Amino acid sequence: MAQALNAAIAGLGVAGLTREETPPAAILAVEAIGNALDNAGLDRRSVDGLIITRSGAATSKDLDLDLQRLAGLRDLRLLQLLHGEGTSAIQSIQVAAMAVSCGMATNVLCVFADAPLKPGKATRESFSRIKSAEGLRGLRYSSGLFGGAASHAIAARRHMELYGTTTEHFGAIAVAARQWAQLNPRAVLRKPLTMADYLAARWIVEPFRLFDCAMPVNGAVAVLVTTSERALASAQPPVHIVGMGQGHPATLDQRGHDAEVTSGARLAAATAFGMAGITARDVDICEIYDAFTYLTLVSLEEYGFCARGEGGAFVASGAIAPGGRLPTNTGGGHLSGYYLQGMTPVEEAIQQARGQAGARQCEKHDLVLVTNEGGRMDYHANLLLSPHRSLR
Amino acid sequence: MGYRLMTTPIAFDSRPSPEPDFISKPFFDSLEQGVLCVQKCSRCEAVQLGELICNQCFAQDLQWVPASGQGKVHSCAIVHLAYHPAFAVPYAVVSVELAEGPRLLANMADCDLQDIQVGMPVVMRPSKLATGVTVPLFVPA
Ligand SMILES: [Zn+2]
Repeated sequence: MAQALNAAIAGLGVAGLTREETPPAAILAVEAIGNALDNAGLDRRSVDGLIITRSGAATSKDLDLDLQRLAGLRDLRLLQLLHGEGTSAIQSIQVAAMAVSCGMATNVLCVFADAPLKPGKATRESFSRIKSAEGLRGLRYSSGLFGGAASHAIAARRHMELYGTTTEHFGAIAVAARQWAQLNPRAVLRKPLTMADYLAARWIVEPFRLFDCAMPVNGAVAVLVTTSERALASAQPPVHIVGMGQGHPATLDQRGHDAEVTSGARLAAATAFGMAGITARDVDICEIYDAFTYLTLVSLEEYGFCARGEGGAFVASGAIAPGGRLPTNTGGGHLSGYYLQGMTPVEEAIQQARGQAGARQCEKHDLVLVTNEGGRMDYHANLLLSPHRSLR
Repeated sequence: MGYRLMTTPIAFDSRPSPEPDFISKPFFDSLEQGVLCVQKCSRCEAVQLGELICNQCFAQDLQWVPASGQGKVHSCAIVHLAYHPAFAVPYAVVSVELAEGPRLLANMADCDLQDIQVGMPVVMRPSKLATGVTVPLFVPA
């Protein structure tokens, strides 16, 4: 399988990444696309693929196939609007990687844009929309479980009960994210955060406090995927895609099954690690989809960086913070950096793999794991990125 | 509704209503009669909830059967952010594991927030919404 994968990231562009008022998502997407092309040293005529992704809370009014015209892209050989909840961004890069590997397209843009912050509107209104009240799924809303924080809080509470995970363990993740964010000019929250500050913050949904939850922004990220050969000749240090996988377990919600403390990461890891011929020990940096602190913890366990139930002790040891043995969410992640769903970890991973991460650059960046998580740990996708085409 | 709602003044009538669908209509119809039902596979007898085909043997032969109405709290979350006018904060959402095995999301009544414990035994009480749809509510057993 590894021989068949011939894909790399040659361009990266961002737009917005701000809590201030911005133009609509589609306009931000066009700006990010322009920046990604400039970054790659390519013009619009060389682009022959576009894959658009948007927030699960957004609609075709925010972003749809019309983005092709808006962005001035013609004669595309690949165009799609892809939906995989929180895993959409990585899924789009995976599709692009497969397309360039088999020669269906050569330069594919993957763009995600979102503008949930609107003047006079609480952010929660953008993320707590009732998606489907049909049938038994409707019991979620009739019992008051709106938005991602509440559903993930139920999961986090179960982990605490089963394994003795504490509120300070979640705090250690929030504090580490802030330490990294202080080194990232793009991060939204850069004020120092102590454990005492974390514990003093207001509750959102117990066991989550304010700093357990993502920091939404308006913005866009565009990534240009091409073949490894083309990436070697591009304006930027090449970032090869050396492995990728997905995992969608559909765990049963009944006795004997633990949907709260597992995710699709295990399945996705087996595929990606097998493709790259690596194990968890080979990973230098993790960029994890951390819309909530708990997702970092459960992902570290599912990927095998520590045993199930030991995620709390692992993060409390300082392993994921600056100077730790497994640098994780090195731009501040969703918690302190910015929440642009699946593109947040992708953007930081590209910077780290290129060696362009400035003050927060990790010395060892031969293998970067990037993850995306969707639903309530229902959907998972990952990428393994490296400055080297082959790790074997 | 006659239930003592202590620190969680939930306006039960105006909660967003589930919309009974092809699979779940018998579930909501029985709840209206005060009976919580689960699905049982006619082939392998596995008990489940909300499925079209059996999640064990994959036969499309699930029958609705009455459950005991008893269960235990599997997990819970205390919501402090006001998302909907029917729910005054803070309030609890619980995942209840029924004695028969399936889990569902619900609210608790007759119980202070701080007294809700994972593992505590609970029993179902039907709770009617303004739309006429009845949903399960749980009280300490
Ligand atoms: Zn069966």
